[in-house]
Amino acid sequence: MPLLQVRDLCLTLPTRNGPIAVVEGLSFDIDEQDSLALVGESGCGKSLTALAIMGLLPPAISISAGSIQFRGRELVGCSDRQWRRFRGGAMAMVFQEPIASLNPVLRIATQIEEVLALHGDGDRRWRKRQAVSLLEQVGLPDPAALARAYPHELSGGMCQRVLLAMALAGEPDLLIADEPTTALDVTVQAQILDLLIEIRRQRGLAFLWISHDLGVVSRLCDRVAVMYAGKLVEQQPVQTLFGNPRHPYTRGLMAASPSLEQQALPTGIPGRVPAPEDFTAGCRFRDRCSQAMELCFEDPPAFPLESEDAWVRCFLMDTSATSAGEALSNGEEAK
Amino acid sequence: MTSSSPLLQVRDLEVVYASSSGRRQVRALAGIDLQVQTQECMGLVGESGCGKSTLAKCLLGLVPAQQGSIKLSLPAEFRTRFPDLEQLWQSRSGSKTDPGLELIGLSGKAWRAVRKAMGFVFQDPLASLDPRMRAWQIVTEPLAMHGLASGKALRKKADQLLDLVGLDTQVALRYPRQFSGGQRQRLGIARALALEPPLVICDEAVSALDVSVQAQILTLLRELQQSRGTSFVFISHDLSVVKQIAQRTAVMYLGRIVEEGPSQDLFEDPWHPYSRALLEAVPQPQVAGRERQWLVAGEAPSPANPPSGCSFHPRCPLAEDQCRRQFPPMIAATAPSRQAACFQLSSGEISQ
Repeated sequence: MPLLQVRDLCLTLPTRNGPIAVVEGLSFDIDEQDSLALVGESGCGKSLTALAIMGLLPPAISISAGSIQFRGRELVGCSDRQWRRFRGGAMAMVFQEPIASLNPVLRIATQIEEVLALHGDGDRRWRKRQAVSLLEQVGLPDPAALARAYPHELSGGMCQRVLLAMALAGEPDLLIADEPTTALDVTVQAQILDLLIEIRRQRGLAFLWISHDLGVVSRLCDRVAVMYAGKLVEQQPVQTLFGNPRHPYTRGLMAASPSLEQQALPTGIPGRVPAPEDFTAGCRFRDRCSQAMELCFEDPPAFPLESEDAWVRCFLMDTSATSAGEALSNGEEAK
Repeated sequence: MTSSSPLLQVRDLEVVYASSSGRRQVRALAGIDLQVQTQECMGLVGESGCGKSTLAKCLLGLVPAQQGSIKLSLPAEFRTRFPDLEQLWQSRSGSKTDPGLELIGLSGKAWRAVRKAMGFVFQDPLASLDPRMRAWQIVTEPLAMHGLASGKALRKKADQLLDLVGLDTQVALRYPRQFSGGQRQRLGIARALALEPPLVICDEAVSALDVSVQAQILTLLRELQQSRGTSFVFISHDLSVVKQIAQRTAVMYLGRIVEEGPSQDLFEDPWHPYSRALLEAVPQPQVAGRERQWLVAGEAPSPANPPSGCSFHPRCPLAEDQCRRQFPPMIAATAPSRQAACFQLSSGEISQ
């Protein structure tokens, strides 16, 4: 049984013109100690997916279909009270804006002790000791003094460490991270990534990592799922994905990512992600895809790839259609 | 213009921010030397708080400098288009051998004339566009403000500018909120280019954009550089972006330039330990098992309380006694022309 199983998840937003599906038919598994990255441009539904799993969706958006199971327990339809037993405990989340995620008027220790009071079983003295020990575990200097500080006295990198300490307070099995290092300087980002790798090794944590930075993903995750306009389009282990991206969108993302290895300017993907109200049937990338064909007006199924649990949703992968195969190799030459 | 007079020449620039009482002072920039040639893109990199944005503001006259010189050598074709600029030029610019116009100490009115020669692109495209102005008004605002065009001519110019940055002229009547992030940034660039300035300063101009759009904007900037001969000062915390867009790069640390050189050489073989640390910190796909020996601990110290000597010494793996006592001089090489401020360079610790 996987730790987290998401099946056919649909998130909808009601509008005057009827409900709009912002995320559609999303399925993935995360095993114990596994790590999955969810990548894609902004507006693809990555963050909403994370919020749905945590039961933190904004009130306007609802789960209209599908299931989210954590350790075999169905979370869709849970009351907020039931959800609270998992959230911050066995499932924890770290957000993008470290400073905005902390309460500015409470001391650091108080905020960590809050989590411990909800999910731990020690008394107040234990909580105080535990908070300081957690701050030490995330590599903060002088944790006892820091526990008495307020968030504004800390830098962005330090705040992110504090948030990580809060996430670890509930002894989670799954850590969901939404672009946690995007707002940080590269040097601080490298330190936080090292810390996360170390913590994951020590505690056997599973990660669901949301990012647009393919470099960060390659350091941290075993598997990558690529999301476009509310749907998953490709999933592969990290090594094979970077060596051999299959979906035209994944290829486009990689060609657009600036890299220190590369000499020439990166090439952009023409156009932009459609707004949810413009989502159509068929492949949603077809308007930006140089290899789009008639067939793309239909929904592409998931074509399996060589490695286990790897697939891509693109008709170019349909080996039975030879012309499509040719189109793909032409595309490669063009690059 | 000869190659001996760069478009922009900054010498020993110093900016000090003081508290209102004047008792507490922060030296935001110290001893900045920088040259930008015509049709060159100069990249500025460094961690937050290193003074990148202060330098940009100082170049635009938005922050006063306490010391130093900023000389701008404008081509005659540009300045003769604007009577006030030409007049200023005749009265203030230097000798024939050193024709630059000194910007430090100019009056507010003179700055207004000079700023025609400098475009500026901001980080946040939405926050830097007036939400109640239409696209055509936004991009032609500099023309309207300096009274250079009006009425039909202004609308025609707007269409040209929108076309230049790859926007359909159909969008001229839209408001900023009706554009995507990438399109808004294109509006910002179109506005910066309205007066066809020889220099455009971009402060984190692509940082807020998705990679696919970011690549489109970088391509646009490169095209403008080649077709119009525009020079850029390109400020970014993203080293990969700077490597690809900038011909030369300056690395800043705590208000000083610690290394400067052609991007190609600097990124392939950085001299300064800080440049090495910055480069190693960039996460890259396909380089998983890379050895990292320069990764720095801790965060940049506050410029309000800078360390003694070389400001990088508390984080530097090569720091010695000398580094704690005095600031290292710039060690320069010609061919390729590059320089770095580090004692270890001369002592041979770092291969040159």
